[in-house]
Amino acid sequence: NHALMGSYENSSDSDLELSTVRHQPEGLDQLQAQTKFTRKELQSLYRGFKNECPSGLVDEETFKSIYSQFFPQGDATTYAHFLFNAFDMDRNGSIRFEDFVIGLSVLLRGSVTEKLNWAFNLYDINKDGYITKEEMLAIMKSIYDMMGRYTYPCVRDEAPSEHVDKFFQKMDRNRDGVVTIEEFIETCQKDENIMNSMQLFENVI
Amino acid sequence: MAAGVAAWLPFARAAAIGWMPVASTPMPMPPQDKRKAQDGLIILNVSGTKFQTWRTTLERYPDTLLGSTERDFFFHEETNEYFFDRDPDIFRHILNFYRTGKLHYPRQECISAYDEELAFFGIIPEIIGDCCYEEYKDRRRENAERLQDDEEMDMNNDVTPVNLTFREYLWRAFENPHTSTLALVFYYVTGFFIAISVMANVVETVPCGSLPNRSKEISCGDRYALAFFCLDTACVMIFTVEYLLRLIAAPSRYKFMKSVMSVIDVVAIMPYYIGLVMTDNDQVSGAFVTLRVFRVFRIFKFSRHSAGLRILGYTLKSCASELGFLLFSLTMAIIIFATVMFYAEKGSTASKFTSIPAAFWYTIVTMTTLGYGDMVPKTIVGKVFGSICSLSGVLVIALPVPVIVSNFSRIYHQSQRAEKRRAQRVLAPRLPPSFATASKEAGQALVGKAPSPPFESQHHHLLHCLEKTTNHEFVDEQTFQANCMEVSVMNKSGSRTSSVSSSPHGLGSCCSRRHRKKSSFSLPSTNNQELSTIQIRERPVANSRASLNAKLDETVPLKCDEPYITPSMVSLSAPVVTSSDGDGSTTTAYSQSNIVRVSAL
Repeated sequence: NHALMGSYENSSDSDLELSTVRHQPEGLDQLQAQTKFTRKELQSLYRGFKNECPSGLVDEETFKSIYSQFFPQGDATTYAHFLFNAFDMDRNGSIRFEDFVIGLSVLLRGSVTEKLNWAFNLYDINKDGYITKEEMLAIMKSIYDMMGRYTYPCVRDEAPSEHVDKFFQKMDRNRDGVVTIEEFIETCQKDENIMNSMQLFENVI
Repeated sequence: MAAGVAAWLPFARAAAIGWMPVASTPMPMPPQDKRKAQDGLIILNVSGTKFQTWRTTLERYPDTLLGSTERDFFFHEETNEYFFDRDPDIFRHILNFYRTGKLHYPRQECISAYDEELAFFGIIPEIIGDCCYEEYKDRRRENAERLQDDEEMDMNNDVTPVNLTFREYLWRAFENPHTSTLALVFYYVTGFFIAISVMANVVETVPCGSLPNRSKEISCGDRYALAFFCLDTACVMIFTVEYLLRLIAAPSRYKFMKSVMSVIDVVAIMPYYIGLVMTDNDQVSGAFVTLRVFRVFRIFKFSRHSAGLRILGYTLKSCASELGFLLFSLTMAIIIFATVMFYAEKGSTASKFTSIPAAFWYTIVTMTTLGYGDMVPKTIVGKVFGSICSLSGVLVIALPVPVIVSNFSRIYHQSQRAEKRRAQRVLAPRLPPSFATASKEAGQALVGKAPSPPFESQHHHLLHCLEKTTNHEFVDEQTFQANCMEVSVMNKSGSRTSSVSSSPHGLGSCCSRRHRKKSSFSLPSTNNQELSTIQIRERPVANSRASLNAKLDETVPLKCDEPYITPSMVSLSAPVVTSSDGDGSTTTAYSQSNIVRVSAL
């Protein structure tokens, strides 16, 4: 039951209108079927979600502000933007609880392949199935932005692009300038560090 | 961390999987989550009123009573609930704080009861939300003033009547005339003589009929000079005796002599003595006559006898800033308008506005709406500005007056309450104020201890993962500045650093492997000049994260108990370091850092 949002003419009205939009999630049983969480976990997740977003929807600004609170030293807004797009699967500008929970289910309870798929989806900004150097550079810059100014050693301007070059060197097998999903998954499965780190957040919930 | 945002930490950590494929270095281990308790409902029974909430709600603030294991002390096994023998109405607000993260102050509650509840549950009042904070602060200030009054009264009445020296007895008699009959008699006698003296001063200037051989009327003072002189002498003698006795009896003579009443006393009796000393010298008699004016200050001696007068004086003192503002703005307005009127009236003939200071008188009389009429503007421009002047005068004076009035009213009511309480204290037993402060200190102590809650360690882990992804570390500003200066120093010795950076042995990765192995690291003793900076610094990560948490965490100041000491060695000579890099493990080339760190992790 997704409440329809009317189109808003000017931005000053949009705040008012967004607050009157409410979203109720699908039933608990359906969500249990779609995700790998238990009932209790879903209940606990929803309580936390609803507490912070009583309307049941997270828009991009709220999402950015929440995510930025975890990285006070740097600027997390760009990376939060990419994250938002990764979670907002139907691309309607707001994350519903279903999107939230399905994304989390992949990240926490999914198989390694599913997680790698999710990561690929995050890097592929225009969702065309290929990661280009420009896309990767944007992602890398946003990650380095989160570090902020006060780091040791100081972040040089070339650091993100050097990091991107290293990434492409590792991932781009056929040297065609883009990374496809198959190359990505294949390379990651061969890298021991990456495989280990995928299991890191199993028991977060 | 704010309560709501903490609920999103698991999401932020899960999203960190997005960094894994691009990470430069391996990730750190996650913190052990010791308590994997299922989230359950907790029943809180507060004096019979049952409240229920989730366990995780309470554990959002682990430094309070309800969020920590301290609540186990209140667990009641028979009924399987936590029982608190406290006020349920105020508890409602405390529980709402856990739920919403905002603490509200209910207006109808007594401020000290509220403070006690907060102290009991270990919540510091500074986190009261903005909506209620001003009200809370106001009530607290009033309460503090009341307590201060109480204490002063205590100090006055605590001394037991027995075992007083004569001096103390005398002082007490002077300060509280109700203590003994003699003091009361003395009190009334001095009051009577003050009145007589003031009246004599007034009457002696009244014209009293004329002498037979003169046509002019002379004043009573000159007619009955001897009588008035005797009266004056008697009054002054009484005042002098009183002053000297007070001076002898005062516990601190210096403080007494500095006090306002003592100054008034001295000013009241000095003219008489000066008059005695000076003879009928014509030159100084003019000055002597002026001195007589000061005799009118005797009227202020009545303030010992009247509480209202004291309150007025105290009010004026406490409104000093408002009065100062009034004076300042009036002065500004007077100067402006006087100038304007002077130049406006300059043209008219026979104008009374001869100079700007002369115009001051007109401005003052007009602004206070007196309007004597001895100076009036004649030109049209002058009249226009004159009317503006009178209108603005009303406004300027009306502004600070309500503040002064409300201050007076508040202080007056306080003194009324003090009087009432003094009468009541004989009847009821009083809790000494030390109890209230003791519970407050206990509350502070509760909040002061800071164990590391799981949220903080998980948040640390998240930030650590980010550091590993980018292969940079968070530092705080000072360390950053220091490092930038170091880098510039090191870059000056050009060739050596370049040789280091091209060294195949990556020095930066040593620490990540090294601290896992905990091998003993022997410092090369030969190259002392390279060991130019041995920095013992608090582990910058912990430091910066402590400050991070301080920003996020509104409630409790987080204290990092153990500073992590990282002696770091800036070594510019590649060969030396590689020889000490004993394990000879192949390390991938990292061109960035050339710091070897032995971290006591």
